[in-house]
Amino acid sequence: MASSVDLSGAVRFDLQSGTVRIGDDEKGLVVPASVLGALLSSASLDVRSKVGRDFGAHIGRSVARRAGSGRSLLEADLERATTLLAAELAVAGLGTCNLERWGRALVVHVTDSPIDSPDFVASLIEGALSAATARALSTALLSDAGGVRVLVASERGALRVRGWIEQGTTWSDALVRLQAGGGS
Amino acid sequence: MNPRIPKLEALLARIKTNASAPRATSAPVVDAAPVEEPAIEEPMAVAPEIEVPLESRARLVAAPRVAEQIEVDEIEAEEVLELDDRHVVNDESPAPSPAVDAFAATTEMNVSNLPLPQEPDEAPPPSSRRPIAEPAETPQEAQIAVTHTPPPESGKQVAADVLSFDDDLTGVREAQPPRAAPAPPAPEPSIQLQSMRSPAVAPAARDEMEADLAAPDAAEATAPPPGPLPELRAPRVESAHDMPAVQAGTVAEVSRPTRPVAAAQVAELVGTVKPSTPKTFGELLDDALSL
Repeated sequence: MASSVDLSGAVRFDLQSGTVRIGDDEKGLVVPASVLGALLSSASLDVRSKVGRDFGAHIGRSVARRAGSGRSLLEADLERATTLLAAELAVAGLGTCNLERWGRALVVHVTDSPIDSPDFVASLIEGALSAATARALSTALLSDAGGVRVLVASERGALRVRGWIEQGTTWSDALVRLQAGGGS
Repeated sequence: MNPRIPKLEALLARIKTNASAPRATSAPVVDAAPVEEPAIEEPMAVAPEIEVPLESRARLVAAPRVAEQIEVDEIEAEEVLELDDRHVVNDESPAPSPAVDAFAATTEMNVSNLPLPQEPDEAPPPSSRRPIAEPAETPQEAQIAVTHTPPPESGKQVAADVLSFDDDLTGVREAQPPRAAPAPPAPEPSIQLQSMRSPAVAPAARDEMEADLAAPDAAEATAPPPGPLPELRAPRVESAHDMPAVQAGTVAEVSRPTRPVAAAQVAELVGTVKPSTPKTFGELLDDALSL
C-alpha cells in the first residue's frame, strides 16, 4: 500500500513581508539551482560538504517532524521512511530518492537532482539521515552514473569504501568486500 | 822341611783330582770351595802360569788381570802364591792337561828351575771393569749358564786416513739423467669370489615341527619363470610416442587418474545463514552502521 505524506504548509510565502517560510517558520530562499550549483562548484570540498550537511540537516528535521519524531522514523517501515525522505527532498527541489539494500549495506539512490555535485548530494544525505535519526553515521559516494548512489555506513566503513573506490575498485565490489570483512 | 810343602802337595793333588774329574756342562764352572794354596818359598817365588785351554772370552779378559795382580802384589809382599777359583778351569776334556802334569812334576823336583811361560798381555776394555761373568754362589746357579755379551769397547775413535765426503753432505751433485716414469704396478689379481665359499656348517638340529620341502636347486630358485618376460610399462611422458618401441607399432599404455564423479553434495552445509530482512528503517540503519 502506497503511503502518503501530508506536505501541507511545508513552504509558506508571506507576500506582505516578502519572505518564504520553510519548515518551522525558518526563512528560506528561492534560488535557482544553477546559482547554487555555481556557488558549490566554486567552493572547496569542505565547504561543499558543510553546505550539504547543513542543508541535509534541515531536510532531516522536516522528515522527523513529519514522522512524528526520530524514534517514530526508526520504527517506521522502509517504505514509509523512504517516502518521508523523498518528500522532503522533493519540497526542497533536490530530486527524489530510493533506498537500496545490498546485503546489509544501505544505499540511497538520489535521482533527478538539479545540483550537479555528487559529493554535495552525499553530504546532503548524510546530514538528513543524521538529523532525522539522531545517529552518528557517515556516507560515501559510490557512483554518479544514473543518479547519485550514496552508501550509508559507519564512519570507519565509509572511509574504507572511499579508499577502495579511489584505488579503482568498483562500488559493487567495494560493497561485497565491505560485507566480507574488508581485508585490505 | 817347609811346613807349606804339604799344603802345596795337597793342592796339587786336588788340582789333579779336579782335572781328572769329568765336567758336566760347558759353562764356566767355578768351584765354590776356595782352594787354599800353598805358600811358595823364595826359590819358588814365581809360580808357573797354568796353560789351560780357555773357553770363553771372559776368561781371556779377566784371568790374566788377576794373575798379573797376584804376581805383582802377593808375590812381592808375602812371596806366597795363592791360587783361587779362577785358576780352576772348566775343561771339556777329562784328561789332565799337559801343563798340569808338568806342573805337578816340576813341583816335586824344583819348581824354580821351570821356565816361566810367556802369556801375551791383553788389556781389558777401559770402559768396563766389571766382571763379565759373576761367579756362581750355588751349584744351581752354576748350572744355569748365562752367557753375557761383552760390553763394547769404547775409547778414542781413530779417524780414517783419507777423508771422504759424501755428496749429500756437500750438496754438490751431478746431474742425473731423467729417469723414465716407473711402470705402474701390475694389477693385483682379482679375487675370485665364486671360489670363496662359506665353510661347511653342520645343519642345525631340526625341529619336530619342520616339514620337508623340496629344496630347489640354486639355479632354479633364481631362474626367471618360464615363458616370455612381461612387458614393462612405458613411461608416462608425452614423448613416449617418439620412442623406438612406439614407432615400431607398440602402443604405450598410459594410466591416468580417474576423474572424480560429480557428487551432489560435496560440501555439507551445517546450519543456515539468517537473511537480513529488516522490517523497520531503524533495523536497516543498524545493519548499515555495523559495517
